[in-house]
Amino acid sequence: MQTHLLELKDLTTEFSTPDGVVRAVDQVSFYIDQKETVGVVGESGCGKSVTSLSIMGLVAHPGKVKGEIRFDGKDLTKLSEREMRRIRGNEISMIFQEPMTSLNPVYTIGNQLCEPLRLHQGMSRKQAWQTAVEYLALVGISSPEKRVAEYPHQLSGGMQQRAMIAMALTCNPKLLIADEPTTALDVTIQAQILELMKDLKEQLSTSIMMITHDLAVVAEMCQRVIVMYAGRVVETAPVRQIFREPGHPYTEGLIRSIPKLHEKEQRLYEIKGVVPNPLNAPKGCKFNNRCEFATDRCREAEPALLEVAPGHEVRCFYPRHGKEVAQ
Amino acid sequence: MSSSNLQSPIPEPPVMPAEVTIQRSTSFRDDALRRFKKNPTAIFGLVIVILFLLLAIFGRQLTPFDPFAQNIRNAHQAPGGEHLLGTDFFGRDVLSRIIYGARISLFVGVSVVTIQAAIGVVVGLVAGYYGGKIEAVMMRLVDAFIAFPGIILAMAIMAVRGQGIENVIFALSFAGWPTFARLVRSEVISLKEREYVQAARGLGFHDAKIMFKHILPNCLATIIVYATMGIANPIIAEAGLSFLGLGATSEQATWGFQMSLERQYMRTAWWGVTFPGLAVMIVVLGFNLLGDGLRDVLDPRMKE
Amino acid sequence: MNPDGEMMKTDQQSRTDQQTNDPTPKATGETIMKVSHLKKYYPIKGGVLSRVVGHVKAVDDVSFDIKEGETLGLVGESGCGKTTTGKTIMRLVSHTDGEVLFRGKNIFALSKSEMKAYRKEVQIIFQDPYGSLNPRQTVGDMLTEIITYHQLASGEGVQQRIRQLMEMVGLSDYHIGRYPHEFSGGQRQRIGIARALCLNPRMIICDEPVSALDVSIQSQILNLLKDLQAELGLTYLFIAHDLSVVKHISDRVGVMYLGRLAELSETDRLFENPLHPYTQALLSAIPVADPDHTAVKAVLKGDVPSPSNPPKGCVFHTRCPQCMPICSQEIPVMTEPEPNHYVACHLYPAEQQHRGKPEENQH
Repeated sequence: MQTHLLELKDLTTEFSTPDGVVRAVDQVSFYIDQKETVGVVGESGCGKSVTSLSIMGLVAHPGKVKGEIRFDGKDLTKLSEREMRRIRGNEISMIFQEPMTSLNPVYTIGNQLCEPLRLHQGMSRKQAWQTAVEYLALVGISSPEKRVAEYPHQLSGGMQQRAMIAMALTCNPKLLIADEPTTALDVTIQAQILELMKDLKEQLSTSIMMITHDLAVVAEMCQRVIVMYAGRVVETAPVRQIFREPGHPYTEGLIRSIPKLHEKEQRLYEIKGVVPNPLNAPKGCKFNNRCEFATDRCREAEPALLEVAPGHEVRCFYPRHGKEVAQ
Repeated sequence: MSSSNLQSPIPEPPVMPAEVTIQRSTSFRDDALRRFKKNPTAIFGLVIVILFLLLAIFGRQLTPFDPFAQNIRNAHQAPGGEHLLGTDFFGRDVLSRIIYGARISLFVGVSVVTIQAAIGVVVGLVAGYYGGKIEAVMMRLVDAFIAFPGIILAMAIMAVRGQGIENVIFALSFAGWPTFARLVRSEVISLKEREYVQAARGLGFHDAKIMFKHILPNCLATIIVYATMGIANPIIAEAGLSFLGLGATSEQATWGFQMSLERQYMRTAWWGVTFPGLAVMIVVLGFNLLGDGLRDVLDPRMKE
Repeated sequence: MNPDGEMMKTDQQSRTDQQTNDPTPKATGETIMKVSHLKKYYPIKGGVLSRVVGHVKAVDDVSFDIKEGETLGLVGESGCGKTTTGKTIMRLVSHTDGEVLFRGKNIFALSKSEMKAYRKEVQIIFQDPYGSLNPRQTVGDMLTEIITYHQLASGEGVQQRIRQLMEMVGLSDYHIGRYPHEFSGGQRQRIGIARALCLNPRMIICDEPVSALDVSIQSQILNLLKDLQAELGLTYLFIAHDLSVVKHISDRVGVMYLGRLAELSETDRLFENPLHPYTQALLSAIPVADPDHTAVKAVLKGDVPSPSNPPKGCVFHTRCPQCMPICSQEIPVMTEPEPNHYVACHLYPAEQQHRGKPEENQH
C-alpha cells in the first residue's frame, strides 16, 4: 500500500468560547498524494481554513487540535514548536488570499524571499539573493533583478500574488497550501495565476491543497475534491465525478446554484436557509435543515462517510448518485 | 467569537420563538457586559467612581461633623482621635470637608467634560462631515486652541472673572474641547465612507440627520471612553486653580481649595493637605481605570 | 404580497395592481435614464502647497442609456470605474463633466425638491453586507425613519408597510426588532434591499450586491432581485465583476475598462460574439465549473495600468493582442458594427458602421 504525502485522521479543532465549545473542524479525514492537486471546497464557516491552519500548526489559543496529521511519515500534532518551524515554509508552505496583508510592507521582496532560504537551506546572502531573482523569474515577474529590490506596495496585486507564490516555492516544498489564492484578484489576473500554478506544479512536482469557495477554480485546477460543510467532510471524489454525479445534496446544490456562463436559465437553484451556527447545529445530519430530501432518519442520526463508487465517498443516507450503501 | 452571533436560520420563521428574539437583540450589550465583568481593573475603577458619586450625592447626611463649623481650640488635631482624619487650622473636620468637597469636585469634572464634549462633538462632526474649506478653518482654530497652554488660559480667564465655581467651569471648558473635536473628526472621516452613511444620503436625508442620527451614535463609544478618562483632567485643574487661589471660594471648599488653605502647615499638620490630595488622586485613578475598561469593552474594533 | 391589500393603498400597491393588468412588465423600451459623456476625475494633490498635480480618471467619457424595466449590467475589473459610475448617477459623488438625464431631466441641475423626488425614484444596494447597515439601528427603526421622513405613511400604516417590505425580501416580522449584527450576510443583503425598496423606487443601482456572499446565498439574492423586478417592474443598473452573474441577470451588458466603456450590447449577443479584444479576453479568462471544459485561453499579459496615468490612445492597447499602430495614437470612438452592438475599438472603424437605423440616443 502506498503512503500518502499528507493524511488527516479524525482531525478535530475546537475553540472554547463563552457560549460553549465550537468545533470548527469535526473529525475530518482525508489524504493528499504526491503531485496531486486536491480542492477543499465549502462556504464560509465550513472549517476549510481552520483545517489548513491546523495542518500548519498555526491554530492559536484557545484552539485545540486533536487527531492525527500524518505528513511524510511524521505525525505533525506530536512535533514540538521547534520541529514544526522547520517544516513550515520549508516542507509545507502556504499562500494566502490577500497578498498585500501577507507581505511585510517594510521589507523588500528580495529580503522576504531570502529569509526562508537562509533559514532553512543555510544559503549565503549572495546565493539566496541569486535564488530569489531566479524564483521571481520563474513566477513570471518581468525584470526580476529590478523587482527584487522593490517593496510590496510598488507591485500590483497580481505581481504581489506572484511574489507570494515565489516565496512559498523557494524552499521547494512538498506541499503547497493555497487558501483562496485568487479570490481577491480580477478575472484576467486570476487566469494568469491559475495558469502559473498549473505550470509550476508540473515543473516542481509539488502537491497542492487548494482551499476555495469557487467551484470553477476547482474544476480547472484539481484532480480530487473534498467538500466540507459545518466542519465535516460531506463528500470526496475525483473532480469529474463531483461535477457529473455529485452524491451529496449539498454538493449538488452548490453546483446547481452557480449561474452558468454557457446556458440560459431563468431561475437559479437555491439552497434554502443559511449555514447553521456551530453552537446550535441541527441534530443528525448537519445539512438536514436545508436539505430538500431530508427525512426523519436524517434528523435522528448522522450518516457516516461511505464509499458509493470507487474513490467517491458521501456522507448521506440517500446519495443522489452512486449506489446507496447500508449505513 | 463574534461569528456565533451572526447566524440565525431563515427563512423558516417558526424555528425561532419570539422570546429568543428579544433576548438575542441585546446580545451586543450582554457581550459588552460580560467582557466588562471579566475586567477586574475596570470593576475596581467603577467601584471607586460609584463610591465617590454616593459621597457626592449623600455627602450632607454622611459627614460626621459640620464641614464649616469652626472651633479654634480644636485646630490641627492629629488623625485617629475623635476626628478620623484630623482637623484643619480652623478646627474643622478634614473627613467631613473631603466628603463635602466631593460633590463640588465631581460637579466640576462632569460639567466641564460635558461642555467640552458638546463643543468638540459639534465642531468635529461638522469639520469631518463637510471637509474642504470648512474643515480647514475649523481645524486650524482647534490647532490654535491646542497650542495655547490650557491652564494659563484658564488662569487668565479666572483673573478677569474672579473666583467662583461657575467661572472655573467656564474657564476649564475652553481648554479641553479641541481634543474632542479632533477625536470626533477622525472618526467621522472614516464613518462617512461607510455604506450605511452613503445609503442615508441616497435616501435623501438632510445633513444634520445623517450627522446626528447615523454618524454620531457610531462614534459614541469613543466619546464616552475619552470623556470618562477626561473627567480627571478638570478635577486636577480645578484643584490646581484653587490651590493657586484662582478657583473656588471658601463656601465652595473644593479639595484644591482645602489644600491651598492648609499648604502652609504641611510641616506641622501634614494631614490637612495630604488627605484632600489623596482624594483627588483616588478619584482620578478611578475614572482612568473605568475609562480603560470601557475602552476594552466598547472599542468599535471589538464589536465588529 | 400584501395580506391586507384592501386596507392599504400605497403607490406600491396600486403599481402592482397595474402590473397585474399588464402581463409584460419587462422592458417597455422607453428610456428611463440617459448617461452621456459622463466624466469623474479625482484630483491628485501633491507638493507642499497640495496643488493639483494630476487626475485619476475614474470615469472617462462614458455614455449609455437604460430602458424602463430592463437590467443593464456593467462589468469590468477593479478600477474600471463601474462603481464610481453608479455612485455618480446616485449623486453620492459629484461629477466632473457630462450629464445624466433621468426621464429627460439632468440630475446634476435639480432643485432641492426635485432632488428629493429623484431620491425616491432611484435607490442603491451596496456590496458589503457588514458595512451597509447602521449597527446602532434595528431594522424596524431604520425603515420607520425612512417612511416617516418621506411621509410615505403614518400611524398604523408605518408598521404595515414595514411588514410588507420584510415579506417582499423574504424576512419575517420577528426580524424587525433586531440589530444588524444578529443577521447573516445574506439576510443583511435582504435588509439592504428592503431599505432600497422602501421609497418605491423605479430604478435600483445594484453595486456588487452578491460578490461578498457565499455561492448558495448568492443564488438566493439573485432570484430575489429577479422576482422583485418582475413583481414591481423595476429597472436595474447591475454593477459586478462576476461575468456569469451579470450574464444571468442582465438584458444588456456594458463592459468597462479603465474608466471607459469598451463594449455594450444585448447579453446573448455580447457573450456569443464579443467584438472588443478586451471582452474576448475577459470571457476566455473566466474559469468554468466544468472539468471537461477545455477552451483555448487567451490569457492577457500584464496588469491594468494605473487610472492616474492611463495609456494614450486606446486605454487597452498596452495589453491588447491585436494592437495596431493607430491604437496608441487615437482614442477609438463608439461604433455600431452590428445593430444594437456598440464597441469602442479601432478594429471596427466608423466607415463599416452598421447601416441600420442607429439608435438616436447612442453616439
